[in-house]
Amino acid sequence: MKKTQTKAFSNLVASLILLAFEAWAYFQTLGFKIVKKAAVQPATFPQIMCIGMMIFTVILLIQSILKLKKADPDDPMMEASASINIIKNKGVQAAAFVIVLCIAYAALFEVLGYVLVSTLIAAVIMWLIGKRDVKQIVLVSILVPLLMWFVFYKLLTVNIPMGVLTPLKNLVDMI
Amino acid sequence: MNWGLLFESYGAVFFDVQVLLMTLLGAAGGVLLGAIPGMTATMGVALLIPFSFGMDLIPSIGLLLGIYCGGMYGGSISAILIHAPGTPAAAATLLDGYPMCQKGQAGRALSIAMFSSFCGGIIGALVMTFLSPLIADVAMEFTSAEMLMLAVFGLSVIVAISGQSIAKGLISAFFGMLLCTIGMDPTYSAKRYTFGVKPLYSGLAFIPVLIGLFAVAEIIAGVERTINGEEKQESSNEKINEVLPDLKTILQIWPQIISGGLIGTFIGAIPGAGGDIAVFVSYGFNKSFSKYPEKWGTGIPQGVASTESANNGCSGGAMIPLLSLGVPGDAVTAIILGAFIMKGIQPGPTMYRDQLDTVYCVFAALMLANLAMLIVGCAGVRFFAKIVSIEKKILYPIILVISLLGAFSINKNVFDVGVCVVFGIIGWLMNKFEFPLSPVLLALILGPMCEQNFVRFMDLNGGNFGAIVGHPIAIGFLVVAVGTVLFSIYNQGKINKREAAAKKAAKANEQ
Amino acid sequence: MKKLLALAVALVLVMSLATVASAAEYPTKGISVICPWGAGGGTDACLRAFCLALEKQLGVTLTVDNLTGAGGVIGHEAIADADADGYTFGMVTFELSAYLAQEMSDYTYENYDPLCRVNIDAAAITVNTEWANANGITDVATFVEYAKAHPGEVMMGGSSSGSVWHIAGGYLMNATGIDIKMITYANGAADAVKAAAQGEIQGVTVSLAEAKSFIGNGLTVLGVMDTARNTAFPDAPTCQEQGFDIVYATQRGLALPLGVDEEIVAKLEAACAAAIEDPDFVTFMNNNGQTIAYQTAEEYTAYLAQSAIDVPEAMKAVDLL
Repeated sequence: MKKTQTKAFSNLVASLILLAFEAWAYFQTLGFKIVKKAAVQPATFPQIMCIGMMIFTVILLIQSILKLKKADPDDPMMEASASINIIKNKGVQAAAFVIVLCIAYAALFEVLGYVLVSTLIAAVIMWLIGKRDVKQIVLVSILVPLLMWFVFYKLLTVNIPMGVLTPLKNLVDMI
Repeated sequence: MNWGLLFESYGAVFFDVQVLLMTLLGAAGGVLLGAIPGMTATMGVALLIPFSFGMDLIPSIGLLLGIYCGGMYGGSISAILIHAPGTPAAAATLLDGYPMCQKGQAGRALSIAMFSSFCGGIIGALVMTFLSPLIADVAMEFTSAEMLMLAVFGLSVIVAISGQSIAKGLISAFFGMLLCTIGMDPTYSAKRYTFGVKPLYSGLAFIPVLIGLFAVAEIIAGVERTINGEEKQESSNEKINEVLPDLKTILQIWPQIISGGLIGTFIGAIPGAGGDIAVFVSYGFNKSFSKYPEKWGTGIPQGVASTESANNGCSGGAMIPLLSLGVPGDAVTAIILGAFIMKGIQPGPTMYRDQLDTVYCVFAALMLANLAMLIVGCAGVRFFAKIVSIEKKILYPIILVISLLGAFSINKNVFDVGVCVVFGIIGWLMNKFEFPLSPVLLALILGPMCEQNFVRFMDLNGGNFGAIVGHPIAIGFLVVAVGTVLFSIYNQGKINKREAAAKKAAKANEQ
Repeated sequence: MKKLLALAVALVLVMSLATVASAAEYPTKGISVICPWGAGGGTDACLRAFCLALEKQLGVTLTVDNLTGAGGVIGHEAIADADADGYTFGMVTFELSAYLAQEMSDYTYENYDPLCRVNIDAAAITVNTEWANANGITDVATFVEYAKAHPGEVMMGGSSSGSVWHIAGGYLMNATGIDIKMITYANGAADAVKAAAQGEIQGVTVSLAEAKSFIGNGLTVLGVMDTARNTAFPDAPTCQEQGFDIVYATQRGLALPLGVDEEIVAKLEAACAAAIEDPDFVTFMNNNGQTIAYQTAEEYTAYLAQSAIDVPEAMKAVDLL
């Protein structure tokens, strides 16, 4: 197996990304408000956390470099790493698609309303993962969000955005 | 202890039809609310407070305690079945509960969770009945210094739940602690990492992050597995003959139940520390002292028992400072305190002196609430266990839309839906590259407690950390914390060695 | 299919007709009431009880909607941004006066059409009994004297940072010229009260209701920052009767978004005036230790204008600005 496909290598990459993130997070703390007379500044605690994270990231980095050098085939770290190859791996493609769907879901939640976006996302995901029984897809994806909304709205008095389906809410209110 | 009055009060509570009915109703509602991610016992209690106005004190307390105890157990149902803890206090239950479910033992896991919850609850209620004033005195010793070190002790458990790589576990933990600092700082209201985004001013809401990291991440991973053909449908043919665990299982898990119940009761009794902390402490403690720590996390009954007994023990514990000091132990008891005051009763030392009958009635009501939870749980186990036999291709989208609704409804804020999705992605990536998720969670729970008490302690002592020497309990916690870390590191080394040996043996067998 | 479509169109038309009702018939449907704070808290309890009383007056259901987050900013802004049709209003609280100064929100009382003030709870100077006895502190005068002799040494708790009780400490400092150190308890007043009883801090500047469980049992009230004694605590003296003109309280009231039809506003004002005297509501507030302090829309607007000036002043004293 190529060294670049091992867990040790993915750890190496992850620690480099993390180091960049930690440096950014630390840099941000420098802009926090400074309070005169304060025993502990608002920036202190996040700074300690950044430094703590850095220390262990560096340890992980060194560990993975050593393991890559040694290349002991029995080491669990030299096994194949999980894939995020979006070009070759169909599963990763599907996962990425679901992520995009979820982001769209959050963005459209208020405009379209809970019931409608949920119906759409549920139906699309069911189709995506190989459900081909159209009757079941339609039934489940419409009834579940509708039922959840009804339970939350009527029994738990949680007001959930209905977006374009607001007339439905007015109808339920009238009954 | 006034035994005559105690028995009288128990009689008055257990043979009152209205109280029985209200408690059962509360428990049923609590179990259902707890099982829905994003709906917590706190919300249930708050929603039902207006309905309890018209009732007498004891039936309304029965109702509220029913929800409280039911909700504590209910959270474990979704943790076990769909990898989404229904309440923060059920977050540690999924460590072993979900693997059990994947092994086709969903019904068994549920019945163990229920039985342990019941026993933990009873332990809590017993301790509360007999040791309340004593424990309340200890709880009054807890100032900022003790709370800080209690948080540090809680954090020391992280090493035990880190899994193979301790470095990765600690990176996760520090990441979680860093996430806690988002929002306005607790002392000077300085904005940190808010980037002008208003919903971030009060920090990340805990429940959406929790649902994202576990439920949404699991669904993304589930879709990936399904497409790659690695998904297997959990066997639905598990026979559930008895709704309670069999004698053999009970004999296996009783040490975890007892220790979990006691840990839960004690941590619950400290105002400001609740079930979410207790479950991790109990899990870490029981794992460390187990003969086979390597099996923890792979789906063993002991894991479920240790956490579920702890969170229900908390309900008894949290009532102790409420009744004897008038200080609520957690969010739910804060609302129950309101219910008392509404009826013109001020819990506290005077209540023990002037209204001992009421105090005893509350003890009895808590006992009854745990019993009601058991009855409701027994009735529900078969039904809940059926959920896993729903086809995965239908189940995943359903869980997704329910989870995201849960994330929304905690603050009724669309921003939280986005937070939930973002943490779904983070959780999926962390799982893929074997960064453990539970340390993030524990850090999120303990981070604010840690920072607030640290800053306050420094403020009180003019920035001199050495003043901690004057707090023997705090020093005690610190010593135990250091001991836990060292012992866990030693333990993890042992686990890794054993696993490597087992792998070698398996390889040798293959050849 | 065509029939179904026609039916659907008809249904939508009927429903949209039903929603367009004139102000004269107001209210024709349920009203949503925004609470910027979480379910189970003091504001939530007060608002829910008041809504029950309002329901009797208006004859429709009032649903309390807890829109929380960002220290109440989210909920407060949602009230101001709501449709001005009279079917959404909400409860504004003390914190509204502090948002602009803290750069948390651009909204002030001027973005609202205040309906009425419902309740105020006065802050009180409450100290640890043991500490007070050891230092000969018996009333506000001796407390101020001690604090002047020991600048920066007296530590008082006041709930979470930027909260009403935290700022009360700043107000106390400005009014008496003393220098005390305010310690924050992010989980709320209950923690601060407990810490004062434990002796971790010397006292608290929270309301009497918050400190109730320890008053006379570890804590002593020196002076209430109110114009009259609290009926639930007749033994607790006010600061005014001791010669210190310190009046400071948290407040809660109802407010509409700007631009609601005048006829509707008048109807709501009348309903509020009647609901405030509802016997169930009065009993509830008394049992809950919250003081009913009704003000009409006009008085309440003037009150809010004054606190928009006072509050930032007090915040400077506790290092919040």
